[in-house]
Amino acid sequence: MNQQYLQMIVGLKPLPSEPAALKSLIEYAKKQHVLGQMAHVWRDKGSGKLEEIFANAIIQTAADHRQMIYERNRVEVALQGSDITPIILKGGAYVNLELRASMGRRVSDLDILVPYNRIKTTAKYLEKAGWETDASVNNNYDKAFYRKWSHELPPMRHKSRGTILDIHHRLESHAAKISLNHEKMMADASMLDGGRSKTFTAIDLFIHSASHAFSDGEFATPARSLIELYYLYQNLNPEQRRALISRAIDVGGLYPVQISLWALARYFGLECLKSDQKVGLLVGFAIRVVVDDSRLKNLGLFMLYVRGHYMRMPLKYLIPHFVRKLFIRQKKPHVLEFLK
Amino acid sequence: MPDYYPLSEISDRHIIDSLTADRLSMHLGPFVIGLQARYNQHSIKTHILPHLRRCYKTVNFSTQAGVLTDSQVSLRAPNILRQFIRPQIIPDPGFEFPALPLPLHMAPLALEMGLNLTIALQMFRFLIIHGGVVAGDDGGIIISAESGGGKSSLTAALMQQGYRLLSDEFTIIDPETCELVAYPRPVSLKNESIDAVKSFAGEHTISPVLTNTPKGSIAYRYARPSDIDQHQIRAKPKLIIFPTFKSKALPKAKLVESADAIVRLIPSSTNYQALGEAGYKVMMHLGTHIKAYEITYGSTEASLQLIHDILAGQIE
Repeated sequence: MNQQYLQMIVGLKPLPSEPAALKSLIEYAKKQHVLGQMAHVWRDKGSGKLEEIFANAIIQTAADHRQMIYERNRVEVALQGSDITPIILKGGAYVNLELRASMGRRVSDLDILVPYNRIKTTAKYLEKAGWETDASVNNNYDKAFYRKWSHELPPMRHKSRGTILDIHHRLESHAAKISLNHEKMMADASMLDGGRSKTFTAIDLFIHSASHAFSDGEFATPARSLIELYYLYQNLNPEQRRALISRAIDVGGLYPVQISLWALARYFGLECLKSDQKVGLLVGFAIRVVVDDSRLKNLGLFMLYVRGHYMRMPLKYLIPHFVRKLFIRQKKPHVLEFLK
Repeated sequence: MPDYYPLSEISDRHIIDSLTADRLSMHLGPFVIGLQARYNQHSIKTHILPHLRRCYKTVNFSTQAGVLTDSQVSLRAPNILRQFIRPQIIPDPGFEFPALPLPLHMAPLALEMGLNLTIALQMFRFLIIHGGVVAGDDGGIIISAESGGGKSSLTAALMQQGYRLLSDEFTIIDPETCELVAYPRPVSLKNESIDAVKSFAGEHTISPVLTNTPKGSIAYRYARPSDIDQHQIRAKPKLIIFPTFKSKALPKAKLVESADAIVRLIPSSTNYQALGEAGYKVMMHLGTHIKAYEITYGSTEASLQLIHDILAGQIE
């Protein structure tokens, strides 16, 4: 069922003509945060309410993108005068490179990568420009947790714009079982227009996305992750596709790339070498039940969640962390003024 | 086009079944909103249905599956326990939002809040400004005020003067034409304004009062069938009013400069940023083509007189 949905969303299959089926496809796309992407594929083909739903989604994601481009500019300006050239990661990179993977994509947080020995300087420059550690993690436990285990600083929030910035110094935690060689990827990164920040090469964007989806991501919105991989793969020319596996081996991302190719072949009918696809029994099972929305979906999500953390942290630290997170709830923000 | 009918032509049973099966959709103004209720038949019949019957009698609803909606609002308990023991209700517009759980008998408030949430935060084809709109033959009046500024009482008073209600809560503007779009839902009255509106509009035009809500006492002045009949008719904006009710204040009206009007309207918009250039153009149009006045008054009569004088060109 969801295989069909995924193919409809990216335009490989026509939209269902039966109203109830079309409605459940729209609901699915909304829930998976890919309605904007679907809207970009189908914007001229809809009529009536469908056309209006697509128009609405396109306006919303266009706003996300303006914000993202502006945030990149703000970060560049904040780092002016330093010797730091940040690498823009994930959604921020797709938007700033205007990749197909960005069209209609919802984006909110900007992720940047800077060398480990420049992280303190980066934070200092950004604090001067108005970013501060987000209140939700501004406590001793969380800060220590990030310092010890994480590949990024605790998220920073800009105090007047409210936008979130994640500063990474590597792509996975120190203890992660699969760890991409971010130094090699950084060395090959290319400059964005304006010459003040960089992005990974097209191949490395795919490898990083694969690793994010299948080794440290939580896979809560599988359609979004798979569609992202689909478009990033489409973005590779034949030569780059041939070079993908050897580069994945080179930077230590072979397994997530193999899972990704398996998933792309399974869900989008992508033609690629059988030998390049590989997935473990349990992981394959978990991905299938989650993507297919089967009755075992929650079990699959749980398996991937635990696995994601297990890949990042030794078990004896992981269990106390889970227990703590289970019992400590976050404070909720205030209700907006206009609802009073 | 889906089949829809005025709510008055749909049986209780059918409405309740459709609400629980996610098939009830409200077709009003430019929006189709799906409504769902996660409660048993008895609870829906006691707490949700009467409000729909009173406030949306002549509004069109569809009940078949597969009707495309702009968004969905679900009314549900915050957790399983609160479905049964001292039941509570929250509006769920389908995205993470910190809604305050209300006791189930405040379902009308939860429903209206849910609809407000989805209009304010999920509709991007129109510029949405927090403010009421009424229209006469020659154009619409935008009433923009902070909560408690007297917006709803003034809206209700102007309805009494023969103006058509476009919307109490939101000024909805089509960015392509800069026209005001109608969305005639009930006017939400708080505390003292309930009795004030009752005194000139009559008891029968106002819903039972919900007391001790987080916003104090709340009642709804129904949109009239004539307002709802004209829900597809748009209006050209003609006047912007920034009202301030101050008890015993002397009536006063002052022209607001273009730039000031724009600077006041922008923060009242729930989606100005999201619309980007389109939102900017609408604001510029409002600021440069439509006169805006700030009025201060201590009684309904005084506010109506001020607006009358402004429209008659007696105040500069």
